[in-house]
Amino acid sequence: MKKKGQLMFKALFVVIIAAFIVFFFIQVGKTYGNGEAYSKLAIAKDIALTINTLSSYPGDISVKYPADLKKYTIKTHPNKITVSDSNIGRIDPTRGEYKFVMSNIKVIESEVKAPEGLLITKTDNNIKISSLR
Amino acid sequence: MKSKRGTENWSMDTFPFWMIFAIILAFTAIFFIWVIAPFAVKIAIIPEGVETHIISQRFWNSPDCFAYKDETSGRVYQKLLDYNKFTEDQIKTCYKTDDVNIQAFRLSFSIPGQGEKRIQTTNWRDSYLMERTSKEIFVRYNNQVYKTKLSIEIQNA
Repeated sequence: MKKKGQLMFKALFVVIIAAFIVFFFIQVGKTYGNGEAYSKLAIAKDIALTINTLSSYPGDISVKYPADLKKYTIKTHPNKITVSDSNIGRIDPTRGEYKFVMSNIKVIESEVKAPEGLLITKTDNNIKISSLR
Repeated sequence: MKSKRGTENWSMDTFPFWMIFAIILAFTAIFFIWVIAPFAVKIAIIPEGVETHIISQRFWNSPDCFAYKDETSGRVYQKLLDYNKFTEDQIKTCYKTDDVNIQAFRLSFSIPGQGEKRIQTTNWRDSYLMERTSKEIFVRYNNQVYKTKLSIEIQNA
């Protein structure tokens, strides 16, 4: 026979799990439904292609990416770009992610939170992404 | 299974239920994503050929690949390939295929007296389907410049 406390604990556990699942489904549904998920992917692709372009040309170059990115966090990894919701961060289940082709040119790892735009610069065989001021 | 701690709630007879629940949940999540994924997906599609075009520019524009660089002046001559740099060792450094599922390229050209020179990226597979295109370029060999066509074969990832 189960004690009252045990039943309460089990019910609480099930409610928390259910709430988490419902929250997850709503969140994913919302971000796909309003196009946020695809915006994040499109931004990640844009930045990755820009890095590929800068890697293809000699000399130092700066490129402005003037889109409003205040809702997003842009993270640069050694071989990919991730764009996630600033409020959710790295656990964002619908974050946009895209890889670029690596070469001798080093892409400096960085994280830019809620920028008004991006400045992508190539200097001395290093590519860096920073917030556009 | 019972214990002194009163873990009867998590007894083995509920294990199949949780297993089935987890499987159904996983399938529901996959189905959910599958149903909603086609909507609004167009904004995230790169037009066909654009990515390959961008990536391939490095072969003839970047001194890290095959573009000729005058070491005295430091000037890089785009679309002028350095014959001596056109090697598989060089392509490995300017087009790293280590952990990225990306397009594979095979490049070749010929100049008078030297026959055809052909190289490929490390992810090239002879048995796979490919597209072929070409581009007019110049090749510098022994202080002479030759106009020729670079054959570009591409296997999409």
